[in-house]
Amino acid sequence: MRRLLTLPRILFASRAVTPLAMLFFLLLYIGVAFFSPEPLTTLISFIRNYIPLAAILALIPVNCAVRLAMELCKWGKRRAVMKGETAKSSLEDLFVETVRLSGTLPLAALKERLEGFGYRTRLTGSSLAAWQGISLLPARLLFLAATFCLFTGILISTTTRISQRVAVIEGEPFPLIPEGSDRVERITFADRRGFFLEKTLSVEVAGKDGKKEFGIYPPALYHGFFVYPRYLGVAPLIRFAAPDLQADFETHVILMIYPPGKEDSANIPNTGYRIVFSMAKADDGDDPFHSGRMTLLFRILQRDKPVTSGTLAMGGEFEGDGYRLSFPEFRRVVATDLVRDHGVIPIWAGALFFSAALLFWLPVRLFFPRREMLFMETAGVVHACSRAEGGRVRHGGVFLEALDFLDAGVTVAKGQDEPLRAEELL
Amino acid sequence: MMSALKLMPLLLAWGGIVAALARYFPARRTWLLISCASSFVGGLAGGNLLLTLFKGEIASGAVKSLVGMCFLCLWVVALAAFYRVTGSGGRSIPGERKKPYMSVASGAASLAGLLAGAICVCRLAPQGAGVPLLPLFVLGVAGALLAAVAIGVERFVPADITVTGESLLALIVSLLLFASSFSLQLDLFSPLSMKVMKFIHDFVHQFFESMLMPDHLFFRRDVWEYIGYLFGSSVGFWGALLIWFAPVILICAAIRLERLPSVVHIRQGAQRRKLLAAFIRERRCRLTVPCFAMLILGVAVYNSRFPRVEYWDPKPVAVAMNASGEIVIPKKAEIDLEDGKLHKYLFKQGGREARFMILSTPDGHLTVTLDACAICKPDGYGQAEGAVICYYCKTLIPLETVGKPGGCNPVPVPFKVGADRVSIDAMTILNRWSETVTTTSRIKGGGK
Repeated sequence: MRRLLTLPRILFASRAVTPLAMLFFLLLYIGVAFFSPEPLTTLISFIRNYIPLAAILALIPVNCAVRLAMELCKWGKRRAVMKGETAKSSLEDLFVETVRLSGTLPLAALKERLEGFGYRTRLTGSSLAAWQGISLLPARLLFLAATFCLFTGILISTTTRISQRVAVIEGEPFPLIPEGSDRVERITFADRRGFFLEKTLSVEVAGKDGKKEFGIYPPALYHGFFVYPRYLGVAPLIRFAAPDLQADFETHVILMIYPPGKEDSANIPNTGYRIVFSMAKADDGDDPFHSGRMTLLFRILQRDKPVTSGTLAMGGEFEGDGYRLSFPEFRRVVATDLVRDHGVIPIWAGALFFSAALLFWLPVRLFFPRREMLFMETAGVVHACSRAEGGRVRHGGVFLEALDFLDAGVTVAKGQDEPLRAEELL
Repeated sequence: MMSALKLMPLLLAWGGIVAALARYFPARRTWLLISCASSFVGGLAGGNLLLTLFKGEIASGAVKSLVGMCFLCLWVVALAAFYRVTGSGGRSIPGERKKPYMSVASGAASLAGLLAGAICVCRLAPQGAGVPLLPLFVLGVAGALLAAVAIGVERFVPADITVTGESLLALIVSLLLFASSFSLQLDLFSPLSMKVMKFIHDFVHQFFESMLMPDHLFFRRDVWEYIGYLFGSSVGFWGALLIWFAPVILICAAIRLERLPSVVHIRQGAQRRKLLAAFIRERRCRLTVPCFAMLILGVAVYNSRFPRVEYWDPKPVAVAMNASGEIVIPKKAEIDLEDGKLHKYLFKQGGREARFMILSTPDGHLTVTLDACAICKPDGYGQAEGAVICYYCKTLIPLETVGKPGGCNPVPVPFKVGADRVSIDAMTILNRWSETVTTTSRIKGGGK
């Protein structure tokens, strides 16, 4: 049974699993980059479509979860030993340095000596524990939890994300449930200087459940889908007439031409005509999308040859060279992605945990690193153990001094009453 | 004479590789010399065969890929070394080093020799054709002699400078990259910068999409400008530098972070100090080789950024359109369009302008393209060594592929070839230029 469990244990618990899985994906990315102009999206689609790749990616969160449990367990065992309980696993596994000495422990004298070096001590029966500083375990656990969340999020997002681009148009039903009664009442776009953003967008939707309002960030949830506004545009009603056309052409078109200068075009079906539009900047500096006073620049092309061009305000009419073009009305449009993705929240949680881990780790590692020593006597053998999460040189010096002290005996330890400075010991 | 001068740094790099191998495998120098010399000659012959059988681009692509794979191996080894040292409880014991096997020595010598030989022959034949036998023979003899000299000189290098497996690999790979950096076709740093730039751009884009973050439309201008730095070419350069030096830095860190040997069992302070001091001194000496490798890599980056190649980059000639809206350029006038060189033209019309170039490809076809690609800022192209180079991202475009769309290739423009002239529609070229420049200027620093 033990042997049977060895393979899964190695597979899931080894420290090497996460770096190896990452290395695998790095190599795969490099390989894909040789053959695809869009290697990242190709790699994502590979993971989405091939279960073995998703399984390799899944190894990372599983490994993190197992390691988190193992490290917590190891910490618990070490804490128990430091409290004077009998070791439930080998001391070599719990500490970095262990040494065996024969003889008996002058515990009280050693305790006094270690306290002289600034260590806190606990004397329990035949065991003396000494420690200083704060354990980095919380930072480590936060780091593992962060990695778990991040890769779980990436895995979920990569394999299950559903996204559809829709045009949310003023006065039209909200596209997610076209047959439903939810209707886009108003789209407003305004300046509002925030920490990162300087615009606000509000899409007001009225339905049988009352009014809802969708903004830019954080994206709102609507029937399990994130509403993710991408680009802005207009949907004017176009009336077009050309000298060679029998009848006038009239239709609503969606033009993604915001911000001013961005071009979009509309084809006039079965005529060979195409009209290229862009939005003109307002002379008064106002945002045309915000104010609603829009002027469009247009170029009329016939089989890609320009035939005429001009400027036309919404509601106005252009006439020249036998061509007529007018926009009797328009509506605001927001190109919106409706996204169902359960990986977004774990990824943000991961980022939060990473930040918390860093904020804890940095000061503790720099100023209060954990250093521990344990002297335990069992059956005439003294076990001396030590580990340090930082300040190893100084701690190692104190540990050696303690060992010398034990070796030489209390009364003749270095022939001095005051403890030596740790730096002098190496 | 010029060829000999061109090959001098490459041969010096080869000497360095042999000396490093001799230091790591000191037991059987004769065997090492035979392996090195024969593999170098093999590399020359193999490289020349590739150049003769295939086009220059395929041969140099194969050699470049092999050097790239060696760099990848160095990354893996460096990560493993760093991982091993930072693992809990990892502790080295001084003097406890695995003795290298002779088969490993031969294998390393053969691979390094083959690659060094192939790089030398690619450098000797920059136009992509095979090298005649006599210069090839002279180069082979020079390489073998140099291997013998390097093995002899290695004895005079201080004995304290020891080489570990990782640092040996670091030195060999850095010397190979150094040798490659003298040839535009084999240089790895510039394509690496480009790939990094592309990756960062894709990653930021993907991150924004995945995290449902708003587009630049809604962002504060100053915040977006900071984000815009990530799309600039300088990020590609610095990112590539990081990737370029990281394996050697990791190896240095792995050596430096190697824990001191346990001395808890020694009760005499003097003995402890002696042991630790010896270990620290030996550890410091082991840093010499990777530090040297780092220096070599730095020179390779310098070579890549400032290649000793003069690009053919003529000043654009102003042209005008005729009454039928066409730009007509004679094939043979002051400028001979079919001379195999790049010719640039500038067309201005009503406040709009377009820069384009005409080039005769090696198979004799004329091509008309914009002096810009669809993804970079329109910094233009220069011509060198059987390729044109995009000044913005330093990508080499083989002359054979100029006129084909995609990637960093110059954007092709429709044109007509007559018996004595080339004609291009003026409006088409203006529109094509506007579309391209609008697309590539939308993101600060270009579209990559």
